[in-house]
Amino acid sequence: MNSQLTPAAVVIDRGVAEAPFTRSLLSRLPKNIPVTIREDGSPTPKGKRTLFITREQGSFLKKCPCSPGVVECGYYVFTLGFQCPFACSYCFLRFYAPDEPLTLYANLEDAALEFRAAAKGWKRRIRVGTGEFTDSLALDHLTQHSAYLSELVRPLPNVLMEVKTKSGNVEALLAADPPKNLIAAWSVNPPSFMANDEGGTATLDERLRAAGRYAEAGRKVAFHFDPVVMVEGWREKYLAVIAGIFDAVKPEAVAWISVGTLRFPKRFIEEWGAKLSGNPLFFDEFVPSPDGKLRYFWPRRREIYRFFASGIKELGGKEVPLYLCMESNEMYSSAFGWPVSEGDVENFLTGMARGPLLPYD
Amino acid sequence: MAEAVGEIEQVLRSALALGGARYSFTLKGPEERNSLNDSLQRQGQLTPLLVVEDEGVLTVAAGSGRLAALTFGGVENIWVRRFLGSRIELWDRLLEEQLTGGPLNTGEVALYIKKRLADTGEDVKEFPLELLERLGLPPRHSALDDPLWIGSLEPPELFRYALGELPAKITRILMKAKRDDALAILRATRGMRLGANKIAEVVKCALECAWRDGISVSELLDSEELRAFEGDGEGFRAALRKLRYPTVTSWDEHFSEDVRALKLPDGVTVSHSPGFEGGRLRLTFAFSSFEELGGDIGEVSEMLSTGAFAGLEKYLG
Repeated sequence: MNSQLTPAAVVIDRGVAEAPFTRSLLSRLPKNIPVTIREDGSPTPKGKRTLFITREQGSFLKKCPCSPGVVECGYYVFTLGFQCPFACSYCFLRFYAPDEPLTLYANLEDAALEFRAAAKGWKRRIRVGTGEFTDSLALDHLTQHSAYLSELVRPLPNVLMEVKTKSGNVEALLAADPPKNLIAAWSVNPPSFMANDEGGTATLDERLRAAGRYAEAGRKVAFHFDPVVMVEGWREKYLAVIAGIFDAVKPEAVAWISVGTLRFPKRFIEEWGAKLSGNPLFFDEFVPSPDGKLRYFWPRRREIYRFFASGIKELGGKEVPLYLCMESNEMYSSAFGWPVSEGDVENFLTGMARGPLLPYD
Repeated sequence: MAEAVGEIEQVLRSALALGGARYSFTLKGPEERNSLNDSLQRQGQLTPLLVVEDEGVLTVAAGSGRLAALTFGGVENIWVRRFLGSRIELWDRLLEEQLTGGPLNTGEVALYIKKRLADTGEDVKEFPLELLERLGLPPRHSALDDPLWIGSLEPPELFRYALGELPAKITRILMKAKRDDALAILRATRGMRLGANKIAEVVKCALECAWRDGISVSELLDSEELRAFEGDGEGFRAALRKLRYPTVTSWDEHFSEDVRALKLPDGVTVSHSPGFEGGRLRLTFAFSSFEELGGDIGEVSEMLSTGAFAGLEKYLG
């Protein structure tokens, strides 16, 4: 897939038409893409091929919305846009915001003010990411978010800023001379799964090549096996991905790897089941977990996590930080032998604690 | 509303037409019908029927069941009161009368709305919100989606709802499915006695199996030979659950076998959480004396120390 996506059209709110972010983006936009100014009160654009530049009226920075009863990893989300240009079959945006345009917030000065104010109160290392509601880098050649984020966190070494992507779009990121605390992360899955269920995204090779380039530039990378799906031959397929990661980057360049199995709210299937007919991915043997989400049943998840722990240890070494996304203390204990306490995972991932939390031992 | 009703009068039974098909929105089971017959035979007619003139014919709007019982008892002269108001007022009154006997169930609400709309020609979007509240629905028009869907079903499924055989909780699930799939499940469960949670499980399992395999529910029932299922509702539920969750049910079955093989003392049970979530088992002692408890604990402790529980280790952690 081409790593330089372009929108079909651009709509700009009148109030941000002259904002530096907007002017900067327009200067990089191919000339053949129609640009419209939206007046107050007129309808907002629809469809994710349209780029909508507007003002964020609310907060840019929030604690990552975790799930009740699971081990929190202390993550914050810094939202610079909403909606994703890709079409992953399992993505919640596809179901809850199918017609939303690719929205970018132009008032980045407000975002920076909010961020810096929050950072003053952080007495410890904090992990923050921009990839919760959008792909962090898919449109970076237009948004230059990586340059903005680089300058934002360069003077804040205690902030580990993560840009998460399924693209191979790292040109602007590399050109921004990113600080060491700007971590580039890739969501990964077996290539056959990506081809079928992650429409429009970069191939695994493209993602790993991009990760390799970032790591070669002396920066840290991260990987997210999320969602892990139990496709036929999943062990061999995921082992090949793990091997691919450590072919592309040295283990010491890996800031962290997360693993999370496919999960969704109970109502998801009731609401969308008929539309997903024929895609067995969503109709595997999911059972309700204590937080109300449907997940693979316990012994299978445990098997998956033990497999990943073993595979990553074997191919990357035991120093590669590994954590589970949205899993309970019991699962950490069962799969990794970690009896985690409040804050342990957070401290572990930010490098503030090792010792008893070293995985796999 | 009292002024919309005439004086009590007596008319010949032969002058009355049954209006149940047009006006009745509650269904009585055999027990209720028998009880009504007994009551009328013992005490006679205590309350007049509500009648309305439909194209010159005196039609029973409320009391069709009583008229049937009176007819059964050979009564010739029937006490009635004529309704003189508008059609909408009539339907308001019918609801008011019915609610004195308790709230309507989901199917009765559906029947009421269906018949009221057919009779008055009202636009459902203009139903007063207060009416929705009287029907036991949230005061918003979208709350009519479920009863309208149920009302679109034909008998016997429509009547199964009205008789309370089908719970409201399955409606939203069925509404999201293709209509043919929804009907196939409802037809397959005719005559089965299942509680609300179990029938909801049947519905979900059937739909999700069909969706997983990319086929219709009818095709699923045919391919799995479940269309003319000969067992009871519980057997049907178990068969569908096994289709939907083959590994989980296999673990459940093995677990039961492993626990049985332990030959635990009476009153001592081992159970697991749904889906084995958490990797923990629960050991329960039921006892009627501390002496019994002490004996059971001793026996279980002995079993643990001799490794008798080793077969359960795979369910832990």
